[in-house]
Amino acid sequence: MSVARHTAYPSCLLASWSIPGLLFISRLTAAESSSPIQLRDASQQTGIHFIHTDGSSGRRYIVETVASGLATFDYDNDGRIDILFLNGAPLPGSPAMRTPPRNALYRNEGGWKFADVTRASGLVDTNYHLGVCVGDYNNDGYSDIYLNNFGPNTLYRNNGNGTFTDVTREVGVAVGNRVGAGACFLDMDGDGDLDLFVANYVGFTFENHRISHMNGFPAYVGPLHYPATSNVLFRNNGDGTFTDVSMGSGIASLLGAGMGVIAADIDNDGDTDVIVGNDLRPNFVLQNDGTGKFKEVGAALGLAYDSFGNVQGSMGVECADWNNDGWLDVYITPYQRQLATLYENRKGAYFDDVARQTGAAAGTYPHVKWGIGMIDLDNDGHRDLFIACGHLIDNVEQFDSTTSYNARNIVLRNTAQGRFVNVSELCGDGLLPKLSSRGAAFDDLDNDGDLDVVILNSRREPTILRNDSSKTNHWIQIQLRGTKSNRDGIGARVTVTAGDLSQIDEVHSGRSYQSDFGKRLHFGLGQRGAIEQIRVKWIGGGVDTVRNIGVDRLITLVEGRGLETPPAPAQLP
Amino acid sequence: MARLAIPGVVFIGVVLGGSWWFRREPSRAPGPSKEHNVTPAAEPIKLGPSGVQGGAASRPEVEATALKQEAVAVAGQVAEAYPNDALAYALLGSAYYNTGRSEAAAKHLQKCLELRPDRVEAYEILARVAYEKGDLEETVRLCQEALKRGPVTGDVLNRLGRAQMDLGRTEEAVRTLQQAVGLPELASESCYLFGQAHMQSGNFAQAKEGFRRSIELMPNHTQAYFGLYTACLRLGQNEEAARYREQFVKLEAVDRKDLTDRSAQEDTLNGLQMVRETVARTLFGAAQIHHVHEHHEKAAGLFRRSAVLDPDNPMYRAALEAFYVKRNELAAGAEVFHQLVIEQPRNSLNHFFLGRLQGRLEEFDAAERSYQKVKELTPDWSEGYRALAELYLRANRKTVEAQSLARKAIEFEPSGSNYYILAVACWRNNDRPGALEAVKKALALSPDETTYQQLFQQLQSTP
Repeated sequence: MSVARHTAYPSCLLASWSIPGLLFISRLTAAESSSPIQLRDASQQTGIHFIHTDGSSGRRYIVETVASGLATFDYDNDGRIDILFLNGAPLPGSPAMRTPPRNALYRNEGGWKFADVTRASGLVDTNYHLGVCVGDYNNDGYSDIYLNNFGPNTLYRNNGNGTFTDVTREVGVAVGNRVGAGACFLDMDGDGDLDLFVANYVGFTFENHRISHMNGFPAYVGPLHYPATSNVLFRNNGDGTFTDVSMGSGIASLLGAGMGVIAADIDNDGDTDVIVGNDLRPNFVLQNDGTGKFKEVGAALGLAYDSFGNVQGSMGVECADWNNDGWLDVYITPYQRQLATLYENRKGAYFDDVARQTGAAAGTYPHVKWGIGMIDLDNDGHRDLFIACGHLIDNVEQFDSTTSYNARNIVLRNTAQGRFVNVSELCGDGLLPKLSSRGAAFDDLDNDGDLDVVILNSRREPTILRNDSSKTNHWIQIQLRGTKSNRDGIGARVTVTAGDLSQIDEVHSGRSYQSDFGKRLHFGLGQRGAIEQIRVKWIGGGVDTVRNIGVDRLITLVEGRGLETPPAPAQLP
Repeated sequence: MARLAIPGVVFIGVVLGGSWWFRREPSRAPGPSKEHNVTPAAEPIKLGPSGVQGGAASRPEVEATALKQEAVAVAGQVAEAYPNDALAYALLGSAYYNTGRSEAAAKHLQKCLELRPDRVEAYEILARVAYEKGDLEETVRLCQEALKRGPVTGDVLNRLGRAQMDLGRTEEAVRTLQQAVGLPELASESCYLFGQAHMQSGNFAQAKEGFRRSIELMPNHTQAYFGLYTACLRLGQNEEAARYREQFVKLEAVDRKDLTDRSAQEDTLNGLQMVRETVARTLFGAAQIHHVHEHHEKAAGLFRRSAVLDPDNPMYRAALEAFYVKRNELAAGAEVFHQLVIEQPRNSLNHFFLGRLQGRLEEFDAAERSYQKVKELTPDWSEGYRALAELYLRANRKTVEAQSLARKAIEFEPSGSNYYILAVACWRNNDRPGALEAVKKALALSPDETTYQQLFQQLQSTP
């Protein structure tokens, strides 16, 4: 939907997209006090009492700075999206805690109420949790969880009855004691089951720990003080076990400082590639040959560095088609004094950093950026940007007054004219909290057809934002169910065509900043009241097409069968 | 680190000009001093409230912090003493900026501009602060203000162009950076940014030219090679792109090895020397302000402190020497430098300036020993030879050796002044042809120098 409908501005103003974003905002402000995107802070009403800890004690271990991600997914298949918050753990020097901190699984009860079911679920380990990915690795219809930790990692198998079992050693996905980061389930070889990519950060140990000082104040050291590390790739054997294929796949020799990762088909050749954001090292793009052999092509594709040739402190990595040209673009959130980068996919040949020209980095420079969502917040058919911000040096204001430990998050609205505008000040009270955010997840928590936001804040309570944007735009949500492909449809490419608008998306497992969300694909449709066609290309080659689909509903597409009998509108749980 | 590179004294230098140079200052510093033991004036600071359990700050970190605090304190005293002096606020703003306290810096820089709206340097620092805060519109405004009010400099144009690029105003950035690359003193960074602006606007051929010029001026400009690689790829020049990529990868690996901290702020473990140099500039600026306001004792103390902090910078010692010469306190000046020699015995500049004062005091033997020490410590620095030659000629002794010394000075630096000394030495040794040849060379290098012209005329009129 065009801005003109919301603001009643003449179209000549809309066409002047070269006007700087800030000026554009001031014009909106002059005539209207809000943006089409409205996010309300619903944190207090949810019943969520989770408080994150990074285990800090003043000794400034680097792992404290990178905790943690979160996941939104339907763990019990009741049609409502639940939330898993990852937690840190006490580190040497931390004060003793009566109750050891642990992750928190909150079941969505409906009506913006969530219940802590952690204990009942069995997700009660007290490891130091950094990243998470969710996927049905055994294709039994229930979402399993992989936790990438500082220390031993954990694969939790969903038992289908609300409980989970630690099957890490049993299935063979232990990676020893490392500093974890993001992780992804993906079907790298198209054999119908989910393989597992595990990113690792740096070779930090308590023995090689050091700190730095800035203007006399103690500060964390950066990643270059520690050795680079390699990532791990596990192939799913199809029998409930995995095999470490890092060496044979071509990834074991690549040393980096992995943070956010995402698996996506960025060259439209039908298989899933992997992008690893490295902290102060060139990013990796692992191009899949379709059989699970990867070649690193980050520099060749223009994703290793920003447009100025600078390596970035990459944190979050996300993929989506921002300009609806049928190619997945990439957005990376880096450190302070680095602009966030929007890499536009030039039809698979290379990527161009277009952050400056499009305004996709507006407001990001002074902050450390983490979780990122390229999601359609106002259902106008164009992906907006939600960027979670917050410094990692908790006393940074003492020696750098251009930034702050706690920061407001940023919303950049896609104008559909090749530009983003910063609407953070106009989105309602949801963008007011100033916290040190890390992971962010985007899912429809209240099943009302728009994407809500969940943010994990370091050392604090999370922020839960209810999307209260205008309901005049149409939408469709698509759940995939594989039969020959992996059951979640992870890696499948979905194309939705509605009138003049054609959009693509893929189901991902593991994305953004060490988080997971969006197993239900969400497409805003603007004012288009009908969908001519939805095409699904499954990993492994099969294609399903359904036509003439109604809007404003959640549908399930089953591989080889098409549309599952949809519920009538407004009958979602 | 760009933050520490902002000199506290650039603008003050502009205001006060060359009024300190009673004699010609050394044309070139003799190279890094072998002396870097500096005693911080302030007590080691207490560390931040969060404390450190994993290990205390090392001595370099403590010293660096103490030095920055000293600079702020000294600049603060200057601003308090001279509340109507715009430069005092500019100095204080600069000192705060170097400690990361941008808000305080901006406050004092604004005060400077209230008193003197034409202080371009204040706009420059404010623009830097605005950019670091991500306020691009304000960065553009401040840069444009600086350009309106003062000389057009590459630094300001580069920052303006960068901000315009970050705002997506590519055409404006292209025009700005076109102006930057048209300046007489062409900077590598201007060419590089010019290239970037053209990359953004899709003019890859122009971009390539910009990057190429950038590496002509700075052969190790890592990002310029990246720019060349990318531009060549876009132009379909794949073989050439591969060569540039190879060079980029090599340089980038070296850069990464040097980069030990994730933030743009410098880890003080590696930056102590730069901190000393920057603080020295601030203290020097404070000294100049005190001097203008005729608080000479304070000025002298700060000139000396600057010299101690930055052993390799001749400017501070030259200013200290000039201070005592102007006040006709040669003996006091010599004593100050004598103390510096004791504190930093391997600093050639200390011996050099001591020699100059001893020469003025006609303590020729002492001056000779000082200059011999200069030669010993910095055997490839022409000034040591020239100064000793000049001393011998003034004292009318060892004139043959003076001629030899002058030739040695020319070997290291064939400058007008060195040829002049040779000419005088030749003449003193009755080598008129040699003198004429030398003075002609001096005039060829500095045709407007009246001293050389006078010598030439004298030689011509002498049979």
